[in-house]
Amino acid sequence: MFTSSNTPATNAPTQYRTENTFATSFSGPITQDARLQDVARNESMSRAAFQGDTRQYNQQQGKGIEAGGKGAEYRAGIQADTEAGKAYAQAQQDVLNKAADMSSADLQFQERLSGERGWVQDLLLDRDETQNRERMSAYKRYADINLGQFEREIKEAVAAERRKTTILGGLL
Amino acid sequence: MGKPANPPPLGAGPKRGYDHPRFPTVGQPDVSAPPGGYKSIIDTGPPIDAGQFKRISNVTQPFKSGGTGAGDRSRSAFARALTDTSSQAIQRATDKFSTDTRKQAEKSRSEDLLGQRQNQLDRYRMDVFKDIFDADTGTRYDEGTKDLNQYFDTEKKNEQAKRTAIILSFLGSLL
Repeated sequence: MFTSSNTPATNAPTQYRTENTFATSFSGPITQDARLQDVARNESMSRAAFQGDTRQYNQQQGKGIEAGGKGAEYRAGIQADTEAGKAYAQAQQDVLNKAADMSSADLQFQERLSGERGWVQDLLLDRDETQNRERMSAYKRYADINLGQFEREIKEAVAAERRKTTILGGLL
Repeated sequence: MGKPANPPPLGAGPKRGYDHPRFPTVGQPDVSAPPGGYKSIIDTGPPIDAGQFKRISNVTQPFKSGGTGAGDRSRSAFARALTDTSSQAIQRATDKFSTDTRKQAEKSRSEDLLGQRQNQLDRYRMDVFKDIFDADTGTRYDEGTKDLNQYFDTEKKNEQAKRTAIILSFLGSLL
């Protein structure tokens, strides 16, 4: 049973409590908010679209044929493509980041859960070993008690035989 | 009854892993895997599948020309080059992430399984030690009982002999 509460003595927050000695405590992979990651990608895509707009790079200076000429337009286009290309690449990087974050979180969860399971297995072994020792002691104690009792009875029987001899010797 | 013969020679101790009729093996002969075998939850498969890979490396081209002029074609080529470069870079990054993750997963899985094997070996040790202890205690019990029975028989015979000697001595004194 998992609960969250404050301990009365110190008022320190208790984040996890359980009665089960051998339960694992990891709840699942912890990933970043997928929605926010999608937002980041959408922003990158918007930025790419915006930065790909040629007009903002068009130089209006110059006279005559230079103003708004084909060469200027070409240069502005190249610059727009370069900026947009960076943002599109960033958008794809955002996709990779999201996938990588999710699979990294999965792996980390699996590693930590398996690590905790390993420790729990060791705890179970320790417990079994302790219980085993207790059972072994009970077995040994039973054997010792029975042998001790039998030994006392045998000694008494031998003493009785000796007494018979002593009595006979006294009579004759 | 004279002196009994010596017990048979003990010979060399039995070797591990070989059955010996004079020294039956106590407990399980070897470590065994738990029911269902050793299992790990760690996934070592590719963290990013082919579909995701394609989606990640699908970089949008910043410019697509509909025109046929020299400027359009060269700008188109430039944009395509940008896209290809970005796509390749991101493919390399994806591939590196994928291989690094798989390497780490392989390592973690082997540690996971090794931990389980170690635990199973420790459990085997515990079980065999208990079987040895039980066998030793049982043997001590049986042999102790035999010793005490023999002690009683011997003492009883001794006392009977003494009593016989007393009677014979008494009868001899009457003659």
